[in-house]
Amino acid sequence: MKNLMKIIIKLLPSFATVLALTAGAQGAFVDPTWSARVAGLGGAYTALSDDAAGIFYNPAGGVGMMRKEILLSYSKLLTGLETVNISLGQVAYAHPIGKHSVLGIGWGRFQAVDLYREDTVLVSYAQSLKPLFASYSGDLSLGISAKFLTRSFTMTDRTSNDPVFSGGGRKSAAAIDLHVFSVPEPVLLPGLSLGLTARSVNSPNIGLQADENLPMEIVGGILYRWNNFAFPIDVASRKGKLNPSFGAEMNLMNGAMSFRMGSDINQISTGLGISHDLTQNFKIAFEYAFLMPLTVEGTTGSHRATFGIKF
Amino acid sequence: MKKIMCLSMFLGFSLTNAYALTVEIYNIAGGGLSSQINFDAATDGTLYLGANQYIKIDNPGLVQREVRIYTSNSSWEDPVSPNPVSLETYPLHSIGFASFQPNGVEFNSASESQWQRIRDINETQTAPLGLTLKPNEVRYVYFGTKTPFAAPGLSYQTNILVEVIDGASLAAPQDQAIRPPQTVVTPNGDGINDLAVFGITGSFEIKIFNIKGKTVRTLENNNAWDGRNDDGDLVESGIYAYKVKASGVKVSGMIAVAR
Repeated sequence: MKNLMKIIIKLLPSFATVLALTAGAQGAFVDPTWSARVAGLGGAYTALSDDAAGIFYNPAGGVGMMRKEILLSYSKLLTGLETVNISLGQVAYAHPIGKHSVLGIGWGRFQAVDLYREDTVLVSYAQSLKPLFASYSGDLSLGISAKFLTRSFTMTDRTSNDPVFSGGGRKSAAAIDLHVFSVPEPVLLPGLSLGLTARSVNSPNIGLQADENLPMEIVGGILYRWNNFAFPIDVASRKGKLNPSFGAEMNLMNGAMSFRMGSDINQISTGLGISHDLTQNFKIAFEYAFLMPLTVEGTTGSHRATFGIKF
Repeated sequence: MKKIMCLSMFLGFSLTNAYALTVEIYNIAGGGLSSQINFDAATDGTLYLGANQYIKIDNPGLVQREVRIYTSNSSWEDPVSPNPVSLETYPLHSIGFASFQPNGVEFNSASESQWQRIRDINETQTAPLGLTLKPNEVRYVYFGTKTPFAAPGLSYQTNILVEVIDGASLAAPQDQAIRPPQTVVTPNGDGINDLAVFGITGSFEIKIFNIKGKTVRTLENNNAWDGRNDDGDLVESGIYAYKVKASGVKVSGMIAVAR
């Protein structure tokens, strides 16, 4: 614990700088914090990423998964604001292959009803390098994701006359993400995990008329587990803007119940999770998260629910 | 038949006010504008509504307005029948204020699709006709009967007093009128959908924020968003939400940005 405090004290000045540089970058295919667990932790998931939802964040973190897992998530964003109807839907499946690799398949939809939609179809693969470095006590995993992205604008009388939409209101592109996950010092700091993800490293063009390259986004994460607590912190960099997020998770009853809280500076979140073993090899889980924007008046927040099966 | 009074009062109107409410009298069979009053504030004015004429009330501004129409010294005329029409033939209950859409050629009072009864009128009834005009709404009012024979039907001629209640400062503009018609902004300088223009003036604040609730742009008494953030940079394409805040007004919605 003393080591952890030293690390935190050393990181504080850097973190303050991050906060000062934080900007409101939010564009196409920005991570909306798909699942309830991720949202409950404020989106800080890169160094955690130990379930099927992690295939959208850092599939390398899921290498240790022992069972197959499916997660179904649905979210309503910024509820309570009249005529604002934004939702998220996600299906994520993680399939462990042996002890050292995991395959992921997922689909996510971000939708502003009658206006705009983004679909992400994802295939990921991650491999632990531990077998290659038998003398190394830690763990290092690498991952790669291929994403097929489609965005659609709802055409109206106004957009049909706009040259931007002369080719229609739909655009598709493929993007590649790269991932690294590490437990660097399992002896001295057994609770420490690190994650690094580079999203859209090929910066595909997602513009309808003009070239608009999806910016590469780098996300670095650090996680410290202490007893039944987990404290993840992420810092994302997109177009030179830094976006930090952090969370805390408390697991009770051997993980059958979890409580979470987090923030990405713009909103605070809280959540809970309940899981139950129906049989020795079949487990169900329900997660819920509530997020409240800090500066938007009139909203009753964003709500996310996830249902999961492990088998 | 009384042929009296044309435009006896013009109180407080201004032709230079682009948002003035106007009350105009037109001939049903064509022939253009007969008389007109412009209102730019809470006031009233009188007009003469002749036989086979209708009233056009135009509220081109951004606020909802209420209008009351009083009648006096009324009489009837039936231009179709050569014989005088008695009220016994056409009972009072068949006479009413009507709201209609002129077809531009000829008003056919027998057409059900054109004619929507507002309520019956009675010479002894002094209650005014009350109308609420939404922003940018035009209403047409005809005084007469929905007769079973050829148009135009029995027509009503009267002096009318038009009263505009609380003028331009009356009610808050309706939410939909505040929302920008441009739900998708394409800020590329081609003059098409470059701006999202909100239907509000005066003292107000508009906040544009992303789906995580981060405010990307704050507009103070500026009703046009150009797709830029507070630093002056174009925002990334995608979806944004907005919130309009003014006295008595809280309107929200979504805007997409595309390139």
